[in-house]
Parts: sequence; structure tokens; C-alpha cells
Amino acid sequence: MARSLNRDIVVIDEVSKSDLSSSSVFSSEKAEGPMTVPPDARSFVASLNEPARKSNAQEKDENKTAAQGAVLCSHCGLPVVAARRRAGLTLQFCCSGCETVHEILQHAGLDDYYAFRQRLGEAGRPVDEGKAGAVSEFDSVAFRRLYCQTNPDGSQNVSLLLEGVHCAACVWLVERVGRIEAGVVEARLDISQARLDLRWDPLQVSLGRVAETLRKMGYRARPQRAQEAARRRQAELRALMIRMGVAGAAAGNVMLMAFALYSGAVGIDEAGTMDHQTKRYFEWASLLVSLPALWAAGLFFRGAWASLRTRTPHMDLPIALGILVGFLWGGYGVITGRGELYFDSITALVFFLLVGRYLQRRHQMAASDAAELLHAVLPGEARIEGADGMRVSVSRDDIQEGTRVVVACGEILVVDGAVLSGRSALDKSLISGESDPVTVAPGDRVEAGALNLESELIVEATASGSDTRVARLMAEVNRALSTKTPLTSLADRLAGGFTVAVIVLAVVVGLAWLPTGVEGAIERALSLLIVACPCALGLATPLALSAAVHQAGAAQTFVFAPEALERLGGPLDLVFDKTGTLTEGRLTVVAYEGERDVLGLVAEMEVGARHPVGKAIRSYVEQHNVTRQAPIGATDVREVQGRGLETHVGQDVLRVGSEAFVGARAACGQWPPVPEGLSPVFVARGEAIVGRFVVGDTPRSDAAESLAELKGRGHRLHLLSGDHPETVAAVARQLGRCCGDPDLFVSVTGGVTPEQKLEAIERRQAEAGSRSVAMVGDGINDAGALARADVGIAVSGAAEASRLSAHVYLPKSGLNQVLELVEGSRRTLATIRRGIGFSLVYNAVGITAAACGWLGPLGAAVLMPLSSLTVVSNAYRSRTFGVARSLRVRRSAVDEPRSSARQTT
Amino acid sequence: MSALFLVVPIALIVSAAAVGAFVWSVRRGQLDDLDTPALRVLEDDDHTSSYSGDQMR
Repeated sequence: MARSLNRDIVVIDEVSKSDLSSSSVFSSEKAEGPMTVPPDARSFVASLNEPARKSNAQEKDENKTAAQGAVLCSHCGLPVVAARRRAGLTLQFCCSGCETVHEILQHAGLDDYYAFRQRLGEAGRPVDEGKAGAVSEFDSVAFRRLYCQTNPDGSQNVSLLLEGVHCAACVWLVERVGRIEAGVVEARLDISQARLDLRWDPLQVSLGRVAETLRKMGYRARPQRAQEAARRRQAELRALMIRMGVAGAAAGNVMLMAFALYSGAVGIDEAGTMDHQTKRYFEWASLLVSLPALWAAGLFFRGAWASLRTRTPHMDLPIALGILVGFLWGGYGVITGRGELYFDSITALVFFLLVGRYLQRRHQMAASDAAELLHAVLPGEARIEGADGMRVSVSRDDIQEGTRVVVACGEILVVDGAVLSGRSALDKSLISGESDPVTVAPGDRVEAGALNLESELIVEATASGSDTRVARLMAEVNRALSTKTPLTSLADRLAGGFTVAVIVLAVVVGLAWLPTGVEGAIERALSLLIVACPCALGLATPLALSAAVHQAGAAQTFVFAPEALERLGGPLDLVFDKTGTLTEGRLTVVAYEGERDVLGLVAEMEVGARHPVGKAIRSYVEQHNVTRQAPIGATDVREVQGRGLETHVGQDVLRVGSEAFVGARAACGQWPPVPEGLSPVFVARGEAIVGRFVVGDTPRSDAAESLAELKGRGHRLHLLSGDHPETVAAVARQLGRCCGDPDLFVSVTGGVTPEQKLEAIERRQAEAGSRSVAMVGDGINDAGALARADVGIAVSGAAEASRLSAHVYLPKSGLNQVLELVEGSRRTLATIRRGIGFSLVYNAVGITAAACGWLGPLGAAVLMPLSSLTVVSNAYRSRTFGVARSLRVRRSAVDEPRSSARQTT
Repeated sequence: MSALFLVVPIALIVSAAAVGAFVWSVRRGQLDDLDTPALRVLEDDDHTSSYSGDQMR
């Protein structure tokens, strides 16, 4: 049975090249009656994957046997499918988006881009053909007010965050957008922040147009919100850099003076070759030049003080101890003229530690506040209807209670309220996770954040701005973000015990040397304290994390909080959202059985569809490239709210919709039952049912495999969703069947509100003990849970509010990204542990030497850079992310058809 | 020896001036972005001079 299904789908691809009207191929199928569908969803879905793989391979073979080798898109370099190939032309394109961009670049004289990209060996990507959608947001008054600054000469500045910028060629192209759109005065890209600082002349070009051009080239722009936080972070980084520079200058100069002192200390006779005066001169100079380094180390002292006050161990504690002892003892030594000086070691230590801290901080993204989160969710403007019937556009914040708000088809509600007039369907998936649209009629209550699918509604506002439910949710998210206890790293946990141990050892050593004299004993004890100062220990974590975050970024995994990687390396309680995370997030047609001829008509009927089912059907028909018959001109398509479409074809009435809508109940029974979790959509002509779509939100193709792998590594999996409990349970069962493990999830919960999700995470944290709780989600309804969890992971397609509240963002689709994240984190944790191990060895050696009286300032000065170097090499030579590429070999070509094209350039 | 009394302070003054210049450039935001300039180095000169690449803000 599954085989006949295979044949059917493959045949459609071939048929696209020939005349569909000779439907002899189908007539034989029709004679057998409607095809049976295996009730087992697993083989059902798997059978669909197989033929897709085959046809992909078929296409590749065709490409390879083409005249001059593979036919590649002239813009992005990926193979061009046979259907789109144009005979006789040198320029071929895989999609109209690529063709458009190519033309744009030619006209602007920017075709150097291709040579540039080829030289650097970067692969291209096909242009995003997504709808233009929200670009007009850039031209709105509210946007200008919030994000743009006006310059004295009339030009305006804005900071936009771009997606998809990843290489030097992108930098080159984006910074030359001024050649394409006259009016752009300056474009400057910061690639690590993916931020474009744009200056343009509003009289010559609109920002919306520039954003549209960037989107066409593959770089989707959004405004940089959280500007206040971004400024604060920038100020913090600058201050840190200044401290680093000052410490570096001090360390360098002190080191030169130390050289002089060491050279002069060795001599023919015991006292050395340097005369006393010079020695004292350099010693004083060392002290004075070290004082700026003492200032620079101020943040370690503050951290140590905070650590003592809150009684939580932190790495700053032993560091501050060592630095303070070094300075005080050295200062005393200079003033009294006795004892060894360790200024060179201490200043260098301060410098190295500041470098480590800077590297770590660099990758952290600024947090956002509730207002910014709300901006990310709701549009800033809405139209209201006055008493006189006039409609005017106002800012969202200006809407009062009782105002009549007009919500057109395709718009998002900005207020909570009650429907006054109009009937429509609302898509609440973004806020509640429900994948089915909800019909609303006058009198029904509606909430801000829902998307209006069908027709215009007039809503009387009951709550607006910060009183709406979604705004309160964002406030919850913000509260969760700001009250989150900072993640303590392994090094921090060691630090407390380490400090105590070192102090105890110092006392013991001091006492042991007491018989030889008080001064000698104090000297030994203090030198032990100084040399035990954990430079390497303080560097191990920041450097390993910095290197790992960098590698992760190259592997398209964006880590906003490096400390989260440590947490992800240990045993986890992984909580997954369903819609959009484990599933595709939109309704797709899983299969169609029945008459093929009618598909063309159905596609025409669904042409303007906004309903998810309609969109699914339309894209299915387009994908299968069914040649349409001459347009019947189904102009009288009538849509019955939320139930189906009907139109007249000759004498017949053609209906597409649910079982009840289509009527002919008797005929429905002949069709085999639909697999669990999916729904049927019937096509009926007159009284007879001629076809059936099976529609559903299917699990992602790699979901089952990735989940099984994660469970196999000892993590506990949970499912937490806002969708109906039956649907959620069905998906859980389906995934369990796919991996052969019915207990895949430790807990499955459906029907939860966003607020309840947050609470559920809190409960899980209380129960989890030493395990970290990680939340994986994508919708606004996940934002609270993402913020509250120990680690929040936002997956591809995540709403902006989720991205802003998560620690990690995985833009590539597929659940294997989560698996690779966990794997990379595990390696990072191993690297950190190795680094800590190395540094402890060095500390042990140093302490032993100091205790036995063998260690002088020279020894300390040698030991410390050596230990730091070891830790640095360990961190930067470790492969953490990107090694996981081996996992992808198991992926089917369906998931990653593009990566295999790289070799054919 | 007397030379040292002169040389060391001068060296330290030069060093302080260098630190001052460093602090000035950090405050101006020149060192905010350390990654992108490394990529811009790889670019060739443009054919036309209609767009001059590196304008300061």
C-alpha cells in the first residue's frame, strides 16, 4: 500500500513535464478505487520522505548528466531544478528571487560580488522569497519616533539588526546598498552584532524601500530595540577595555623594570652588580607604575566584596586576595627596603584576567526591558473609528478604553476587547500556541496579539497598552529575566574552597617556617598567597566559553549568554514546546487521494486564502507543479466562515471543506480513517466526494531521531504546550512510535496558558535538583518560560519576543540543532574542566615551591605566563561546535539538500 | 645613573600619552567593532569612486 503511494507522488513530478490531460496514468488508479492509507502514521510519514529523497537524487543525477555538468543558479550556486531551466541561456536561476537580485546587482554595477564571494570560498544561499509583509513598518510615524535620529543636515540615522549576514562578501554588499538605492548616505555593518548603522536622506528614499532591497538580497532587517540596554552594554564594554589597556601599559612597563632588577640582582658578588641607589629607584618606580593596574583591578575587588557579602563563592575572591596581598606586601617591601617584590607578576595577572573577562563579555547580548519586548510583539499603530465613522491611524499607546478599533484582514490586534461587528477567524498561535484558528463573532472577547485571518472586525477596546494580557505577560517575562539568579560556573563553585585552602596553607607554612625567624616566615606565607593567585584558574572558564561561543556562531548557533553553555553540558531536563518547535508550526498537506484534475480548480479557489488550511492546500498544489487547465474563472468563490469554500463549475457545486460542510456523509465513510493528529479536508463535486486532503501540523522530520538521541544521553524530556491536550498527546504518541519508545517524554502537558508555562518551569526547577532545566520554544507564549528556565533556547522561526528572552537562538530549522547545541556544550564543559585541571596543577607546583622556599619573584613571573599559555591553548585548540558535523551525515538529503551542492561549484 | 633619572620618567610620560590616546579612541567608539574591519581588509578597490567606503560617523 505504501508503495503505491510512492509511485503516485513520484509520478506527479514526471507528469509536470508532459501533458496532464492525458491522465491515463491516473485512470488506472481510479479504477482501483481510492488508495488506502496505512493507519499507522509513522510509516505513512516515512513513506512520504522516501520518494522525496528519491526525486531529489533523481534531480541531482539529471543535473550531473546535463550537457556541461551541473546546472547551477547564477546567483546562489545551488542546483536549478529541471522545471526552471531555460534552454540556451547562460544565466540560470533557481528561483525568481535570485533572478531579481542578480539583475539588481548588475544594474548597480555590483557584480564584483560574485568574484568576491568565489575568492573567499563562501557558498551562496537562495534569496528569501517570503512576503514583503512588515516592511511598511519602517515608514510608520511610530517607528521613526522610536528608532530614528535626525541629523542637522536633514538625513536620518537608524540601527537595524540584519539576519543572514555571515561573511566578508555580505559586509561588502550591504555596505554598498547606497549604489542600489540612491539616497543612502552611509551604511556601516558590525558583523558580530549583525547591526547595520544606516544614514539616509528621507527625501530621496524611504527606509521601507531600503529595508525591502536588503530583504531581497537575503538580509531581513528589524529595528534594534532595547536601545537603552544596548547603550549601557556598550559603555560597560568600553570601560572594561580601558581598564584592560591601562593594566597592559602598567604591566609592560613594570616588566621592563623588573628585567633591570633581575639582571642587576645577579652578580659577581652576593649583593649583585646593581648599586643600591639604582635598585631603590627602580623599586619605587615599579610601585608607582603598578598603581594604575591596582585601579584597573578594581572590578575584581568589587566582585570579591559582593561575594563575601552574599556568601556565594566567586572566582573574584581568590583573585582579589592574591592581588591585594601582592600590592600591600610589595608596597611594604619598597617603603622599608626589605623583602621580594612581585609587582611584575601581579600586574601581568591583572592584565590577563581583564583580557579574559573582556573576551567573555563581548559575546553577551544586552537584556531587554518589558517595553521593548512589547514592541517586538505588537504593531505600534492601529486604526480607530470615531463617532462620525471617520477612520484615523493612531499610536497604540494612545488608544483609550471604549475606543472602536478597526482590525483589517491580516492585521494583528493591538488591544484586548470585545467584537462589535464582523465575523472572522483569529490565529492565536503566537500567543497561546493553538494551531487551529478560532472563529469570532460579535460579542466574543478577543485579545491583543491575535492575527485576523478572514475579514475586517471592529473591536471595542477594554484594555490597551500595558494593560493588555500580552503586555502583562511581557512584564512577567521581564521580571523572570531580571530576577534570575546568575549562572555560577564551575570555577566559581571551586573558588570558595580554593580560597580557604590557600589561606590555611599560608598559615601552616608561616608557622612551619617560624623557627627560622618571623620575617622569613611571613615572607614565605605571603609569597605563597601571591603565587597561588589563580591567573590560569580565572582564565580557564572565560577563554573556553569565548572560544566555544565563537565556534558556535560559525555553526549558526547564537549564544547570548556564554555561561549557559556550561549548564547545557551537564544533565538536563529539556522542556519542549510543541507548535513550531517539535512540529513544523504550520498546517501542511500530508497527502491527497482522489481525482487530480480537480486540483487545479481547488488551487484557483484557494488563491487568496488566508486560512491556514487554504494556504496549505495552495502550497501543496504549487509544489506538485500540477499544470492547471485553462482557468475556469471560479469568480464566485464563496467562503463559509471557518468551514470551507464553494464555487460553481458548470452545473456542479464544488466544495472544499470539512466533512460536515461537504455533506454526502455516506460517502465519507468509505474513506479510510485519518492517522492520529491529522484532519481530513474533502473535495466534493455535487454529491460525490472526489478527493481528500489529509492536513496537519506534522512533526519535523528529524524530531523523533533527535529526541531519541537526547534521551539516550541521559537527559529527561518533557512536552509542554498551549495546544489542545488531545492534539499534544497525539503528537507525543506519534513521536514515541517513531523512535520505538512509548515513554519518550517524562511528562506531557497540553492546554497551558503562557503564564502557566512559566509556573510549570518553576515547578520543574524545584523538582530537578542538580539538573538544569532548559526550555526549547519559539512562540510568544514561550517567552516567559524561556526567561525563567535555567537555559532558554529559541528555535528557528521564533517570535522576536522569544529571541529576546532566550539564552541561545538556533536559526537553522530542525531539531538536530538542539542536539548539536547540547553536544557542543558537553565538549565545552569538558574543555573548561581540562583547563581548570591544568591550572590547578600549576597552582600545586607553585604552592609547593613557595612553601619550600624555592620560589622567588622570578619563579612566579615564569610560572604564571606558562600556566596562562597552557589554558589559552587548551581553550582555543579545542573543537567544540562544528565537530558535530558528523552527526549530520545521518541526515537524509531531504533536510539538507543544499549542503551537498557546495562541492559542485 | 644620572641618565636613568631622566630617561625613565620620559619613557613613562610617553607611555602615559599612549594610554591617553588609547582611552580617547575607546571613548570615541573606534574599538567597538573589532571583527568587521578585519573583513573589510579583504575588499578590492572599487572601479568607480561614487561610493567612498569608510566614512566616519
